[in-house]
Amino acid sequence: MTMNAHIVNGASGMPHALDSETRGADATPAFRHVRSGGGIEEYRLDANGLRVLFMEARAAPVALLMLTYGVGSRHEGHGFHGASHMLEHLMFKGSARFNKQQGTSIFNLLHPVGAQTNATTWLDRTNYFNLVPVSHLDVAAEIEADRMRNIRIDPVDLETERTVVLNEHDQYAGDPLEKLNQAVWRIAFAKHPYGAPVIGTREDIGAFTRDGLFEHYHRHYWPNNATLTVIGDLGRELTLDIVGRHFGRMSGFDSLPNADDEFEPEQRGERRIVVEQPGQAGWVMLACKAPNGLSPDTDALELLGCILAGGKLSRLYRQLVVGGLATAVWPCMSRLAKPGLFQVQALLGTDQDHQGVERTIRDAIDTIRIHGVSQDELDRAKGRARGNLLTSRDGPVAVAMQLNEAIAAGDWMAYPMAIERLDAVSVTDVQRVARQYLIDDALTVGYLVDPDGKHAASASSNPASVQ
Amino acid sequence: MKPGTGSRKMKECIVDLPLEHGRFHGLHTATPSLFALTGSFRTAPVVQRGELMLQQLVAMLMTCGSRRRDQFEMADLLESRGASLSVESELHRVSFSARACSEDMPLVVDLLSECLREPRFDATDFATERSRLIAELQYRGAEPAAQASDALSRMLYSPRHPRHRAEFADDVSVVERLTVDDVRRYHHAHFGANDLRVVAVGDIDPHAVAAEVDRRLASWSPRAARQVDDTGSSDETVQVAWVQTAGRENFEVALGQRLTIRCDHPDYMALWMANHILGATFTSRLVSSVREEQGLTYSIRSELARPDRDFDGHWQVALSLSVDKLNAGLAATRAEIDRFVDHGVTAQELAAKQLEAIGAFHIGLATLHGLSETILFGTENGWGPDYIREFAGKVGSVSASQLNAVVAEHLRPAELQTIIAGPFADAQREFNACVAA
Repeated sequence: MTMNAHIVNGASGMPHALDSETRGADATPAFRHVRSGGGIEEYRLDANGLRVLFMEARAAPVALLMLTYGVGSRHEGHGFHGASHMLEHLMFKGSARFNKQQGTSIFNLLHPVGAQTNATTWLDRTNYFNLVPVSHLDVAAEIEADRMRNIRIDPVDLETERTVVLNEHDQYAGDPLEKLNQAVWRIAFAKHPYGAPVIGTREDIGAFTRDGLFEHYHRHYWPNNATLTVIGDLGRELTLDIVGRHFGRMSGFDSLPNADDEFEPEQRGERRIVVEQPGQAGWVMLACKAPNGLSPDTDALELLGCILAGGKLSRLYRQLVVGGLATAVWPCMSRLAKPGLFQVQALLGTDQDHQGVERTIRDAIDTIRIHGVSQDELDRAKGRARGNLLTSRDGPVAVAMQLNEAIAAGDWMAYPMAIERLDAVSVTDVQRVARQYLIDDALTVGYLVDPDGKHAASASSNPASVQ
Repeated sequence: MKPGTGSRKMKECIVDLPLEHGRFHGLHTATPSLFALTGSFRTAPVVQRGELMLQQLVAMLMTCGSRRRDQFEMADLLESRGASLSVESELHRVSFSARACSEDMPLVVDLLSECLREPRFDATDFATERSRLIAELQYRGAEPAAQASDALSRMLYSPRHPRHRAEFADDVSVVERLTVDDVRRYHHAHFGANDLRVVAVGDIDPHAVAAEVDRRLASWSPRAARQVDDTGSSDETVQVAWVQTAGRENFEVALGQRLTIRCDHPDYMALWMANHILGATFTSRLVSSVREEQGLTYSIRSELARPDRDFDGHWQVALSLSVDKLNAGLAATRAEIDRFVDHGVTAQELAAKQLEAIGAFHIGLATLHGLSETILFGTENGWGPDYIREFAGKVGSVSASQLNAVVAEHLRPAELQTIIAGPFADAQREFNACVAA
């Protein structure tokens, strides 16, 4: 299907494609080597700006092909929450040349050889990945190239997939930790789209139109808004040959939208929320605004989180878990394109003492703000983080998923440079970021409470909205 | 990849060595600087004595330090290297696994040996881990998919059977009564090199790992063998049962029926292939029909849960349904199952699905985790390291007529028990009215 066919498909506000007519039909697409790091090579496809990452991995006769698009829930407007995720589902319904009607869908061509294919949507990005026998990398690339610009959205498919997504939504909507997490992000980000649920709302999902989804697709699904990653048992030459043949003739887009993020006003006061879920053990979640994923301060906060709540050697494990107030505690540092959240959360013990656990976490943060951390603690945290990075890279999919988040944060080099970046953090940095970011005015506190539990009243006694 | 291409290469290199009290399988792979080690040994807990919960607690405590070092020293050694070490309770076995940088292999094997042979069982650690287990049970008790699956197990198996899951409140009650002395006694009596299986894969010399394992575990004595033969019988009345889960916004449904074969039965592979076609993959009939064509569910799958050499298992179909799709989703699922059992598969469909299954099997070997677990699965079930090489042949030898005969004999839709876990009493009334109509 040609570009014109898309216009026929009915998207209003059809974007204007870059002119690539000067390129001959048989010309060999030109790649420009940009940089290399950590065994990964970056190229740009001159014709359309597609970024290509290649990594050789010879352990098994397979290849992974992943496309990461710079579109996620952050790029959706009010009343359109969940559109990126909905599109992710519809991308498996077929494209112009690869679809079930012609017997050429992913399910017809890749699954019969045992391929693993899937996709995920998150705040900043959507990624599609295919783990295939090396012999099938070519057809995987051909399918991805076709659905990059030529999606088919059959009205019947849309209605069928809408109810599938609604069921997925309902699963999440009842999950207690998901409810708490979404509630905390929602009140932490009063205006910024990071506060909206990635999967969307039931109302918005029910109201998606074919035209609206097409418009979203045509705004974001372009080669110069994507990174193609190939990891596998093959060489550079073959990889670039495959990529060039399938992606080299499409145009880029000269008016990619900047994410029209709502400005998030500076938080000037603590925010609190209580989420009620019958029959559920309590949770406490503390979250502070944090810098974007590429900031060196994020590295310091990640190590701070490790010292505070990461593993058995952390301060809060000893105080909360060994102390009997909680049965688990852990940190979470979001590494996003825009400022996100630094979170510490605890699953409560039998006493369900929400306030006691919150107080302990706040005291532990205060202690670091005032006294900092020891070099020994920091070294141990670095060792843990470094080791985890190394041992978690088990196979092409695991590597690709980590690389994917670095791409979404804005620089894939954050993946191979992660260990060096963490090594550069000093004890002074840790104390500084604790003082700068982990402050009461930037704090959001969430409780998950069993409304029928004996401790419910005391857990909800602090001023907080309840849902 | 042609079927068997990867596995032939692997078979040539898989090292199969005897241990003092078991067997070792190792494989060097081109995975730079990493290795994975996994294994298991037999314990055979007696279910009606609450020993499954006791065994689970013992397993959780295994990595909380040894007589030589407390949990913090052990955590320091592991975490500073990014290494992980875990011990988990299975039904009648205990499994262990580790992942680390290759250079840390001797240390990891040393720590694993300490955990298995001389765990610390400190009173404070005991209290912490017991609380953690109770919290896990409570979380499971509020999770509808787990509730549906557990309730199904209670319909299918007698309380004597290892696959019978008690009500979570009963499990919590059992755990609350356990003492650190119970833990010590159970470990002393049942944790030993009984039918020990160890697998190591990655950037390692398999012979060196085997030597290290045997050096640490050769003097670990087997315990007196126990055999659980009497697993009782269950009520076979076909029922639909409801489990109310407050606060949830969807239903999780489990349909199931007991199987009468184990994994060494001649029909097993044909039954495995039948389940693969029916509901084990994204291109299965259930997914294609109930999700892709009718849009009634986000997740649906069927599984053989999980017949092994010692115990039979059951056939289970699990799906998620939104409130307004409960009746339609269940009807569509049952219709697809009926169609599958009544009409079977064609030779053409089977051939395509055999290639898919073989391809997926080999792609699953692309990680150290997948590779080591698959080798362990083969050796635990008596197929040895040849399992990887022979898988394609085993699957490929199933004929359509054999598969259809096995389906007709073993899958009986009329006997499917149904559990519906969800929050809505109104839906139950509507469902009953629909069934009555």
